[in-house]
Parts: sequence; C-alpha cells; structure tokens
Amino acid sequence: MVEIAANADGEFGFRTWLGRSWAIVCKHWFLLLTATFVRELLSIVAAGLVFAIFIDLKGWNILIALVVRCVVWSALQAGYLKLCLNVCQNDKVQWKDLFSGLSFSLQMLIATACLWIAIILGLIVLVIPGLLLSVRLSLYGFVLVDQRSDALRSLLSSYRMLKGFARYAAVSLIVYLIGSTVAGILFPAFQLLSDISLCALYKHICGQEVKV
Amino acid sequence: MRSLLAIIGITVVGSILMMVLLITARLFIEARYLPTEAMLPTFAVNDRLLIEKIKTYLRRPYVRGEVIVFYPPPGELNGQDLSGDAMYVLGRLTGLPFLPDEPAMAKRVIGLPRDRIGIVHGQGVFVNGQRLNEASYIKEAPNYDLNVLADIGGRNIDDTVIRPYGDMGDARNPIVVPADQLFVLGDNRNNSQDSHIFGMVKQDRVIGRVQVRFFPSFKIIELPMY
Repeated sequence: MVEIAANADGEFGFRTWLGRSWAIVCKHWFLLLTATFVRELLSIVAAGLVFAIFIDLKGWNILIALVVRCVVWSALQAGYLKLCLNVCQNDKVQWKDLFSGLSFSLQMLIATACLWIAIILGLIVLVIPGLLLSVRLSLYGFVLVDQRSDALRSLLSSYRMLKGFARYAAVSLIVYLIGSTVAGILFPAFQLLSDISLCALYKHICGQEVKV
Repeated sequence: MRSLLAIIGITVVGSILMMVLLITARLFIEARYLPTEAMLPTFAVNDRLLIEKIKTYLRRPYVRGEVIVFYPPPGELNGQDLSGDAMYVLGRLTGLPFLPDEPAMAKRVIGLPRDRIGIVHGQGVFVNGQRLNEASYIKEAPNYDLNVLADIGGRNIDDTVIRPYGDMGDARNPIVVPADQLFVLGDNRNNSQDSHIFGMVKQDRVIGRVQVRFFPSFKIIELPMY
C-alpha cells in the first residue's frame, strides 16, 4: 500500500505544482524530448522490421508488428518514466535510464492493456466512468516503476493515491488533450508538461520533494 | 526568458523529430484514401487503404491481380511530372496534410512485363490470347476495344485528349507490356482513368501494394483466382 503524504493541499496548489513542472520541463526539455523521440522511433523501427520480415503473412504481419510495437514501447516507456522520476528529483540523469525499464516491460504492457480496457469499458457504460478511470489510473506507470509493483497493484495504487488529488491529474490530462488536438507544432511542449506534472504529482503524494 | 527559449527549442526540435518519425513510419507502410469510383465494386469512394512498401523496395515481382498504388504517368497530368521542389518532396515523404500533395492512383495489375494485352468490347480482357476470368471483382465488362498501341488514349483527368502512343512509329503494333512497366486497370472498367487511357505505368512510379482496407471495415486484400 502506498503511503500518502500528509501535505496540506493548500501548500501544493495548482500554481506551485504547474510552475515547478514547467520549470523542470524548461531545464530538461532536450533530454526529455529526445527520450520520447527515441522511444517512438525504436518502437516504430522494431514494428517496421517485423512487418517487413513477415511481409508474406498477408495481414497477420500488421498484427504481429502492432504487438511488437506495444512490447518495445512498453519497455521504453518504463525507462522514460524512470527518467522523469530522476529529473523531478534533480538526480543525475543518464541516458541509460531510458533502457533500464526492460524488466518492467511485461508488467507495463499488461497494465497499459488493462488501463485501456477499463477506460473503454467505462466510456461504453456511460462516458463519465471512463473519464474518471482515465484520471484516477493515470499514475500507474510511476507506481509500477518507482515501487517495482506489478500491473494490477500499480493500477489499484494509482486509483487510491489520487483520492483527493484527482483534479490535478485531470488538469494534467487536459493539458495533454489540448496539446494533441489544438496545439499543433507546440504538441511536444504540452506532452512534456503533462508527463512531468503527473510525475511531480506522484512525488508530492508520496511525500517526496520535487527539486528544480 | 528560459521559458521562451524552451518553447522555441521544443517547437523546432520537436517538429524536426516528428518529421523523422513520420518519414520512418512511411518507409514501411502508408495510409491513403480513395477519392474516386474507379475501383468499384472492390473499393468504394473514401475507403481507407494501407499500402505496404517493403515488396517494392525488395523488387519482388508483381503478380497479376494485385492492387497497386502509383503516381500516374505525366501524360495523365498534362505533362506534369513529380516535382523536385523541396516542399513536394517533403510532402511525399511525410504525408503531412499542410504540405503539397501529388495525386496517386490505385489500380489492379492486369499486364505483367512481356504480356500481350487485348480488350474486347462486352467480353473482357485477354492476356496472351487467354480471356481473364474477372467475374469476382469487376463491375461490368469493358465497353471499348483495345488491340494495338494506337487504341490507347482518351480524356485525361483534366479532360484533355491524350494518345500516348498515337504518334509513335510502332503505334500499329500489338500491346505488349515492356520489361519495366505494368498494364493496370480499374475494377470499374468503364469509369476509370487507367492504362487504357494513359498507357503503361513504369514500375519505378509504384508506391506500394494495397494490403488491407482498414476503414470503413477491415478487409485483407486477397489475390483473385484466375
């Protein structure tokens, strides 16, 4: 069970939280941006190569390539989240962190799949449950990587941790949605801010200081 | 100041990296939609298709019945060939909607290199003297004849009359597909801009082979049985 810090919500505040998150993005933007790029590039290349190797499997090659992309992406996403956690702690950040998530790849894949199934089912049921789940489960990746938890526990922990903090996670996701829909070429800035603000929120809930 | 620099940096570097990602993804696969009825009944207007490009890079031989996507010969576009302009090249590589686009066509491969092609009004297509059984995919039998190179021609996309082989010395020769070219036809035989109008398509203009239709419904494109 995750221990939730007793910090008063007032001390945290939207302005402080987003301000610190943006300051971290400004300081480490190149590292974070290239890390997301490497994550996407490697997963696309891996999927593309598998697609090419099984080109004669007529349609099945697309399915196999999609699975490979998800596996590679999950492994690198775990590394990327570790990188975000280190960045928020102002620890020494190393490129190899990006590739240190291999041991989490299976759990990350399962957790991501469960998350999407839950969100889609929630949306089908009555829209609102899906939106609530997408907010309350948004810290699962950080829990999984930071606490070496398994897929289901990380989702449950995220749900519990965000009790009372859901509005912060909602703002983070709205920032991401704005970035991916109307921000055009500013999309990467919104994406990084969303990732780092979620990371900062996780740190705050766990009672750890976010250092800029 | 730091914020401004970060925003500029993220925007510039992010845009470059996104271009690299798009180009990388499009090396393997490309999505396109059909704007015309030329491939009815196989594909309808606005169907979304996935095109694989790997076999084209590997120079795998084309198979009769495959649906390919290609840039039409210059004659179809009033002599306008693929542009060498940087923005057009970037548009071809990334497919970004705000970059200029060049028209491409999806048609079925009917004639392979060295095949002799003939089309008889109301009957169908003959390859090397044998009538193709196209009942599984065509809308209706062709309402035109094609026996010699001079018969190839008609109105192009811009409604200009073209005769790609009309002035050539061997225009009275039978239609034999050259070594590096393909004879392609739309499944909607009488409502399609294809090889019966603009002639054979050079293989180096082929973008790739249609592998699946993913919208409005998912369908793996199978080769017809001849």
